[in-house]
Amino acid sequence: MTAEILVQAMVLGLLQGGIYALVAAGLTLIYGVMKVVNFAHAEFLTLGMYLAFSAYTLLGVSPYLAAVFALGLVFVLGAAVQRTLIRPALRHPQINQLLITIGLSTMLIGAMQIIWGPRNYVVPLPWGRATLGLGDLRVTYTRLIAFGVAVAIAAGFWVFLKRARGGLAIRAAAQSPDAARLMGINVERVNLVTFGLGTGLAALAGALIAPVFFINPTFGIDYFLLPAFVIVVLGTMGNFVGAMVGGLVIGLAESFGGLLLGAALRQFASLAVFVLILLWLPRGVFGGRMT
Amino acid sequence: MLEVKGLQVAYGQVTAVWDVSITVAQGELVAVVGPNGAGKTSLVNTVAGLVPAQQGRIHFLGQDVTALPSHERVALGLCLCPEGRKLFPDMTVEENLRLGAYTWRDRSEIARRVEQVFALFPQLAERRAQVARTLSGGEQQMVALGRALMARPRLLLLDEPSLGLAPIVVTEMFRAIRKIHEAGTTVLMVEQNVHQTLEIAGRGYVIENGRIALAGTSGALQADPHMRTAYLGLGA
Ligand SMILES: Nc1ncnc2c1ncn2[C@@H]1O[C@H](COP(=O)(O)OP(=O)(O)OP(=O)(O)O)[C@@H](O)[C@H]1O
Ligand SMILES: [Mg+2]
Repeated sequence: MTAEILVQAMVLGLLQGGIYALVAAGLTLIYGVMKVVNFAHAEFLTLGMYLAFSAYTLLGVSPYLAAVFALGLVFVLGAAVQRTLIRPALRHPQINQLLITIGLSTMLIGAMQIIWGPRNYVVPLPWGRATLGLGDLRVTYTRLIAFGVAVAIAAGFWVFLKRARGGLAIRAAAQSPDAARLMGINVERVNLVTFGLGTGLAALAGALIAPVFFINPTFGIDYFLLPAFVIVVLGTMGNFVGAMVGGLVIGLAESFGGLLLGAALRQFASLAVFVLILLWLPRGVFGGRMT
Repeated sequence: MLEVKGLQVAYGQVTAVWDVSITVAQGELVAVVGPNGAGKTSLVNTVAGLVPAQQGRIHFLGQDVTALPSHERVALGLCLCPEGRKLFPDMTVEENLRLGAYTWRDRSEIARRVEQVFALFPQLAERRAQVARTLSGGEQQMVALGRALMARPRLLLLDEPSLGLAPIVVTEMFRAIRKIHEAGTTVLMVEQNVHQTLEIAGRGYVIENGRIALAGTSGALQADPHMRTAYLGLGA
């Protein structure tokens, strides 16, 4: 095994990890604030891919511009889902919420199948296969852009959580909803906005990777659901920075796992890393703390 | 300022507060005392809007707030420093304080109030960047009280501010509360430390089994035979 192959695995792992991080960030945020595990999260990513695809093929809009609209559109959709399906279930046992989000996942997959059909699509960007050469290593521009934008958005969001008044409200509601109410925070609205933002970020990530992967109705659930959950648990559920670090770790684990065990077993490698880390740090890398 | 009339609070089948009526006038410091499980926390949590009222009305500044959500009551100046402090555990002292002023937007005014809290509790100043989870119990209570003050409450509700604190810190807490009251804030305070509470309160209510058992000025309560045996550990 040569050094170039290892470097290549590392670069590809990091590139994938950046996307994982953005998807997991939304999932962990929703869990942190509402304690709801959103099993439909990956479907919002798939929806973002389709929105970018249709924007490009029907209107000729760049997927990167479409990403902004996907964020806005899915924010509204996510908020509506929160208001109609999630909010009434918040008072009920977690099993109810679980069934609701699993049902939502099935519904969304069905809806996408009806709208776009079962076949695989690609966003036929004219420069979609163009690569940047870094020494012996070649990486497509589409992957580089997706990674760069995902990491920048995640970092910007982190600054928002840390500095902005709205970010402070989200963190407060996550750490203690009743105390947040006593501060004058409208926790019901924070829940609504957080669900919209979390799902919107998944859709944004989807639009960013639409030029990289084949799009079909079960893409998200097939390739992103498991890694996203692993990352969220690994990085301590509800911890934003944990999701960032976890995203990169799992991206690398899959990439090296694919290299050592063959592509079919790449998820085995990330699960193995997951189990090993949790044996050692049972509450996640960040020890149960919220950001 | 605050008028609670015929309040009933229940958790499922369990009724915790029965037909309780209390008033607090502008400028007063009123105490609510009573044994464990009497319904004191249920009363103030309902006044703050965390728990719904089963029956009865709550008026604040002439407005019926019975159905108003908590965050809107805060905006009116009705603030609760809750039992057990309820700090944001993974946030710093300063972030906790800033959240206290969430309904205010003027940043320089908020910064000024943070400094005022540090003036009231100097030992918090050197811990402004420490996360709340790692503070001592006394320091946590100081942050909780300071955080409630950040909102500039018109009526400050305090639920057992001396709970679990060492005697010397309890005394410091009571001194701070007296100072806050003297500076013009109206206070309604739940306490188990009956002796020290009646020293600073003008009036008090005694709650037993979810009902008002006794009410009167601090002087009258201190002289009452039932109070002296049951709460003050003195002879009748
Ligand atoms: N969330 C709840 N669910 C069910 N019952 C509750 C709940 N909170 C309080 N109670 C019950 O209501 C009654 C009054 O409780 P409350 O906490 O108001 O008393 P308290 O006077 O504040 O007591 P303490 O001095 O111990 O704080 C108790 O019997 C308690 O068990
Ligand atoms: Mg109590």
